[in-house]
Amino acid sequence: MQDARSRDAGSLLDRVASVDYLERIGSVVERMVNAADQSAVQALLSEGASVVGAENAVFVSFVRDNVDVSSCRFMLACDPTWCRQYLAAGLIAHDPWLAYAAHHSEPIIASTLTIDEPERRQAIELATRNGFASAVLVPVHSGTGHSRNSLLCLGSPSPGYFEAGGFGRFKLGAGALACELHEWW
Amino acid sequence: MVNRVALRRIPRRADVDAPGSPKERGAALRRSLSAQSHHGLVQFTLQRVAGGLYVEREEIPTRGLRTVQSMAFADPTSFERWCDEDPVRFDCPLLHAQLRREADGLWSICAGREEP
Repeated sequence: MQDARSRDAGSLLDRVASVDYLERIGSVVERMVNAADQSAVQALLSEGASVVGAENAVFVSFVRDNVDVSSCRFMLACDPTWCRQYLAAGLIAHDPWLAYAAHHSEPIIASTLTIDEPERRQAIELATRNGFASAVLVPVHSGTGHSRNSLLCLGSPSPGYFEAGGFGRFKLGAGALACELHEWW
Repeated sequence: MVNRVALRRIPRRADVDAPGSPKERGAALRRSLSAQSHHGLVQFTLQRVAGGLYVEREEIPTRGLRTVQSMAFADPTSFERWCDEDPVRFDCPLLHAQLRREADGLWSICAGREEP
């Protein structure tokens, strides 16, 4: 299925230029609002990632007690082996993408972050090997006083995929998807 | 799902189900199993869905980070590969065997049946 998706994907610019791009995303978000259970939402995450122009997606929702993450939920639309390796290596504490999501609300292309520390690079390298060679980070925050934050991470195994143009329109769709996932889950 | 330890839990919309809701109607296609080890509690929820098998894995360690992973498998082979690499294979062998068995049941029982 992933191969077929790759063939159909083309460039991000082509994908987001489609006249019905936002309409198709709206349809996914609308069905998410009315989803009966988590399995339905997980399937819609997978579909939504494909519609916005990504091949892989992870939605992470986390709660912080003071500075440490105390609880973390992963909804995976990617190889689940990644998540197991990520948790086994204890990368949550050193994940620069999660750290970005905890303190920022603006969607960004992950490669624009400067990451020098070796332990932080480890999280990026693991993601790169598992379908996130190019990635977009879409943080979502609850209201003031809430300690729960979320991150929708959309990825492509093709290096430079999100850097090649189309990000402005892409983030409109990705943001809508991330907000509804945060609301639902 | 019962919160068995006093750790803060992330609320979710699906926790509140009216009688006769789609979630309740789909209970026949869902299995929950868990085991307590010296590391803490591990719980799996399996659900047969139109696209394959939906799996939730929740781990509540005696100390440290509580995690939930949710994912879907399109075919039995990919699920079995994931299952055999799970730490419960060695930490809780009985749970691992039960997991395989319940998943086999869901794959076969629902092979020709659509999710409600």
